[in-house]
Amino acid sequence: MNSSHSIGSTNPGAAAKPSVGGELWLFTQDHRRLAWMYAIVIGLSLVVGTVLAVGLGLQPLTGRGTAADAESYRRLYSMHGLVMVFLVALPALPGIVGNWLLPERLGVDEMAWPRMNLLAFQLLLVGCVFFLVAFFATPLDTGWDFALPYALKSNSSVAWGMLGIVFVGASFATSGANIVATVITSRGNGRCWSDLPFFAWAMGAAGLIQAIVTPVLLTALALLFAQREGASDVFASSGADVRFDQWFWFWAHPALASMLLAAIAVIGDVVGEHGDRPRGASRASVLSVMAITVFAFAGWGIHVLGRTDSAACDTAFSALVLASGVPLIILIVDWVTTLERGEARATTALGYAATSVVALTVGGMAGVFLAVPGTGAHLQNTSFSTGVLHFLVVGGVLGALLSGVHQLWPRWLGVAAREGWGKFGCFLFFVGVNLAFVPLCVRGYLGQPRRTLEVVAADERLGWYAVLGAVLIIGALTLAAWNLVATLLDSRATLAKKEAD
Amino acid sequence: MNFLALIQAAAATAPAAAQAPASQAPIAQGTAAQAAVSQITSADAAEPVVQAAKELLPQASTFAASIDDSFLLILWFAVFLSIVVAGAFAIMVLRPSAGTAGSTSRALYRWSAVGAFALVAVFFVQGARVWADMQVVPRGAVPVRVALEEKGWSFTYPNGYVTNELHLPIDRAVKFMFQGASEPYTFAVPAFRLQVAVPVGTRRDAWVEPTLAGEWEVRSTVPSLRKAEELVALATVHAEGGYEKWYQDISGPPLDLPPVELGQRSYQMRGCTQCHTVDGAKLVGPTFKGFLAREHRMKDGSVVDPSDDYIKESILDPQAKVVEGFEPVMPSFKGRLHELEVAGLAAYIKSLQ
Repeated sequence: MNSSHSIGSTNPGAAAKPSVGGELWLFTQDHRRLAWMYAIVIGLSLVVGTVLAVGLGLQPLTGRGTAADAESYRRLYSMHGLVMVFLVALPALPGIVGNWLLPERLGVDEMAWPRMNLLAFQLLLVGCVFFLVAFFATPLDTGWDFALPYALKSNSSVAWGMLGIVFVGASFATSGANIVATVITSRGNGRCWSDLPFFAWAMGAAGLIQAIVTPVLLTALALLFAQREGASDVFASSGADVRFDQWFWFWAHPALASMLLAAIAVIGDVVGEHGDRPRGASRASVLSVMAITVFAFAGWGIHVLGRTDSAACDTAFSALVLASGVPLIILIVDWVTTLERGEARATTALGYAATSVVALTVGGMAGVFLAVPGTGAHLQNTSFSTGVLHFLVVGGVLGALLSGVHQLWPRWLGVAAREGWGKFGCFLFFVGVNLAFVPLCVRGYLGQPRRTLEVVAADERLGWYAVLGAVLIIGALTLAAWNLVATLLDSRATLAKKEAD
Repeated sequence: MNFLALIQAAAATAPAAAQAPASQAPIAQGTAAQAAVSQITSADAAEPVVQAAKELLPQASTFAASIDDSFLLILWFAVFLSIVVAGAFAIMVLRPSAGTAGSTSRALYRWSAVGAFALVAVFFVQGARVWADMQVVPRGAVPVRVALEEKGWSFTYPNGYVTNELHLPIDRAVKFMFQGASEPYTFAVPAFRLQVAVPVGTRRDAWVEPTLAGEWEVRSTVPSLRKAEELVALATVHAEGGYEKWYQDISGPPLDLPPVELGQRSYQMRGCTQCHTVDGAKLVGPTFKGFLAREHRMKDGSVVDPSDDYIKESILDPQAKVVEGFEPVMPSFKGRLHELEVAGLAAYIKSLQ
């Protein structure tokens, strides 16, 4: 398997390296093979999360009202959130695109710490195992955010879920530190900071955030676990739910920003390749990435808007979160002007990048509604916030992942995926994302609470639009998967024929 | 015309605005939007959309219009920006020839940053203004204590009357004083655009001035293991003068009346007449006529003395002893009657020959 003709090592642009861990892919330290391994695990998780999402979307429209329905609904949204956030959205871009592209963009052979790179992947696998236990024992019902005091009373597999997050979180921190180390140490060969490509800046910022904030999540979960076991009473007094949420969102808000920065890294890279700045970075774009990183650490308080005693704090957090939209607009200007100066072709990769940018714009602007104090208070805990999160994660992060994978595919296989089917899939994805998540936002404004089986906001047609949108997204993902796998099989057949000749 | 009205007018003049799909209807209901729509020729076409929006989510408080204005301001810009971004990407790949190589002008970045900051500042000021209004409770507001208890919502009025239905005056500020429970809850009334989060064991104050008479849903939006119906209550905004009449009814008669007269007034005002007569006729409950003279046999076969204690127990804990031949359907009046009223009722019932 160490042959330069094998999938993981095939790279027309760079020499293949031996797998230090021997023949087994499970123990490989080759960053490209690890990218493949991440792709398989994340792809399977995406399938599981999507199946759960289908159940979640259909249940309020088919059966409702009984306690059993409500319970299964709680479990569906909890496991859907757990899988999608921890096994898809957070690791996808650093794990797949980052692993493959970062060393290549930096002109180095390998990540700074190959063993830690392998360790990060193995920790993710262990986390998956615990999530599976949580899934099959008594499915988690607390939501992916372990909301208090629910998480203290729940009889579901809270401990297994938390244990899974401990390992997955350790994976994120390890992977993030490795990305940062790779960016920093790559400057040894006469390269200075200003020579770093945009991809390295943005992916490095995402890694930095993950490395810094993940321990906060693990500490919060450790305290929660101790309280459940009766060994602590830190979350027992009045305001405990807000206290836990402050801990949790001190991780989750920057973690969401790290997802978006990883998406920005991929979009910037794809746009640069299509424009006049392959691998380059403008000063404005780098400063924007830095600003987003700084603001990421200062926005957690917006998630407890109106729940603390301090209107001044609410106002300050609101201002900080709103200000974080400015660098995003500068990045969009940078991308458009980069394309303007080049000879951009309408490729599938650029289509998904554009879809991702539009979703980030819509999601970012929808986030403004939540961040502005007046509208934010009305929209808290409604399906509006669910819609915003999905715009950012599905449209923004998943769109960027599809863009990156379509961009990388020729490098991986030497053969590009079929453009016609790719563009059609991209169109379905664009329509699906908007059709699925705009109704969630509209219903949220009408007063539909999130995470409830009961349809409160009047017009049920909105629910069916969302289901239709979800169907289109699934169709787009299936089409993309089929297109990519078919190309993979074609390339293997061509390779085998060449070897036989 | 201010900036908000300018944007709304611009949006309303667009032909597409008049044919907005139903899913966009709820967001086009601000009073300023209605004003903008009425200024233009497409007003007739847009009217059904505005009406549909008003039916889906009416503006039932003074906050509602302000928050809708804020929402519309951001919404129109979000739509505009999304179209510009999507359009820019499309133009870059569809144009016939490539642009000139070079670097982006610093001025473009600078003005983009300035423009973005200015917009963000407008959004912030618009929202913060409403937020600031919401923080300061006006003097003379009607106080109502609110709690989400084990059996559902409880609203306590200044006279001590406790009910699970919220009654509010129109065009008059109401101050809500929230008492935190063992689990967090929110007090959300979408028609008022009011949502107050009450963390575990804390107290919160908020206020609202209802502007539209009707019945609006109150709901806690925090996920909970409770039954869904326990999280929902009804807020009735009375028309002009309606709240005062309702409050007078729940306040009962003047407490300084002689006991028998006080009891008689309570009997008439508290709904006792619906189930109990004073002329010997049998309704859902036993008649009060000849109360002292007859034997009081219970369902369990026991016989009780027609004492004051028995009458008080029957009012406050009616299921404790149920009279033979009747069903245990009487609701408890615990917390709803002043103790002088209970004593007055006992005196009145015993006075009936």
